[in-house]
Amino acid sequence: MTTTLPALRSEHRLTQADLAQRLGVSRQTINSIETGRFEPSLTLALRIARHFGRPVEIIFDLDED
Amino acid sequence: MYEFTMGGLWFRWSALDRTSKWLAGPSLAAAGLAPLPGAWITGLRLGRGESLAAPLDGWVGLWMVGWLVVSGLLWWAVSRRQDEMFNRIQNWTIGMASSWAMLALVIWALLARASVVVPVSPIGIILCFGVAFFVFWFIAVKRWA
Repeated sequence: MTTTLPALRSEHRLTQADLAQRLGVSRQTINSIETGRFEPSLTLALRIARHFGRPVEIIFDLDED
Repeated sequence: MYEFTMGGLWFRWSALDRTSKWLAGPSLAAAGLAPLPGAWITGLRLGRGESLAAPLDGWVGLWMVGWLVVSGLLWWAVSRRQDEMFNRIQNWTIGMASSWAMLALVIWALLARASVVVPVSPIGIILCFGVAFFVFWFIAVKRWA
């Protein structure tokens, strides 16, 4: 799965810790999502999308292969 | 919220919220208390050169199970306050450790039935699960965190 979360977070001038606090998750979870090690649940993905006011498919997409 | 340190061996205590600290502290203390009498009696037997095959007194088992239940319940409350990555790591670890420990114990029991090894002891079961838990915990932390 690919994600545009790092770019979106930078655009909003948020650190990983800031975003983690706003979403009620750990900073390591945000880091792992951004580096592709951890795929969030649908609930968390939708919460992230809602937080940034963007459709979830803009933030998360499946790999081409 | 938790933050793993040392590759998952520990977590940054200051990153936990106040309630999680109040739950995690007694949970870890209870887990530390659980094996004390068994370890002490086993140590005494080793020191005297006595056989370790003799069963321990019933109260030792009750003490261990009692404190492990207290520890487990408190840890369950800690886990509920953490996020989905923590719970995914923990649940996957418990599932894998249980499965592999069960497999090892079945093989052990079959070998014991054939008189190749000594019979499975309660301490052996706990140790088997404990080792599997640590191995899979590190694998999970490395994979996801």
